[in-house]
Amino acid sequence: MGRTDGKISCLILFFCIAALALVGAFAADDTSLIMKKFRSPEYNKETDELLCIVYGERAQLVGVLVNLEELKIDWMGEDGKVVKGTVTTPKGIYDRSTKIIKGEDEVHYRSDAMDVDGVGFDADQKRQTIHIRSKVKVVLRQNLMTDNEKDVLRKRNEKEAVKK
Amino acid sequence: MNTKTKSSRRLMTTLCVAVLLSFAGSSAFAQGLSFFQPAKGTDKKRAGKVPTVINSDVMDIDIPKNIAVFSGNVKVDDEEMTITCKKMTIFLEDKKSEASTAPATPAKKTEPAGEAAPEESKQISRIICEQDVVIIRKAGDDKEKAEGEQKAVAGHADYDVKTGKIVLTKDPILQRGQGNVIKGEIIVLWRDSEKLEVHQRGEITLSNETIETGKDKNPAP
Repeated sequence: MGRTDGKISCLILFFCIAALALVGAFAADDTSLIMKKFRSPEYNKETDELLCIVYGERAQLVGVLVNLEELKIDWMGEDGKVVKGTVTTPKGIYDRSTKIIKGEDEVHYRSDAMDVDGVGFDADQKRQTIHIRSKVKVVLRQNLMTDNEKDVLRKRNEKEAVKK
Repeated sequence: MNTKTKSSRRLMTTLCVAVLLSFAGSSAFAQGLSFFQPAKGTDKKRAGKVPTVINSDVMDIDIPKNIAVFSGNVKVDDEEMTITCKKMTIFLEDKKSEASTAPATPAKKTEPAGEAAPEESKQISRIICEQDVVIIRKAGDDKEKAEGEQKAVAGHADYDVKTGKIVLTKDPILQRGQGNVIKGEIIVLWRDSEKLEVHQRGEITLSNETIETGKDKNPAP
């Protein structure tokens, strides 16, 4: 019995060494995993709610970093069912340890409240925040009308509709 | 009397109704001065379809908190006014079911804002502007342009978009045309009404022209 356990232990040890050797060989060759047309959902570990979905044309895993191309991030709402906003950019680097995606290129954010264009970004998946580094241009989907002004406008439009 | 003296006299007589309310805690209601109001008779009709555009150096969006913070050279171009400042925070909130009669629109939407559907699930509830805040009301027509620029300058502005209440603090100044100035510790103005409040150390300076006409030339309706 003791002999059998010893053999199993030796086998496990052998496989571990072999695995380490393989990883080492890959690292030495600078080999990395490449994915094409990928889709990667990110969940809240505590609540299991869907936080965001990262899409892309190409992803190259280099250690803890992932180089992403033609990137799209859908940020989900509290219930994890509705998309609250979408980020698109030609290139980005995802740090799997910090869950932060960074990019130097132009970036676009679309939501039901605003359209944002800029250059350079840092998107935190966990906190659901986006920092746009420069040349920010935002078009709000509504103007700064007060409730009273909206009422007046709505009544006026209704009258004009009746006239027509 | 040479022209220079004449004009300077006119300027001086530009009746400095310096209503000094320099008593702490006092407040003034300056109705009829029509700051940040359309000129009477202009009947400016807002189409409500021109989207508001914001430019800045940097922006931070916090999706769960529904907040967007703009930093750097912030410039807001709205149908009704322009705002410039160093930092601006926009607070968004879910729209009430006021649009319940309108067909529901999906939350996911990617078309440009200029072509946006009329109903959205989010609306701007509040805007806070900080540092070197300048708010300029856009003139509705040539008549309003002739009346002079309506401008508010302050170190801090808190704008409740829904009610139209703007609270200006940190050395706020309201200007209309040449010579009409209101100063105070805190200036509160309502875009929807003719009401204007000046709290503490209020000072109103009216131009000769305004005084001679006996009242503000274009009181708001």
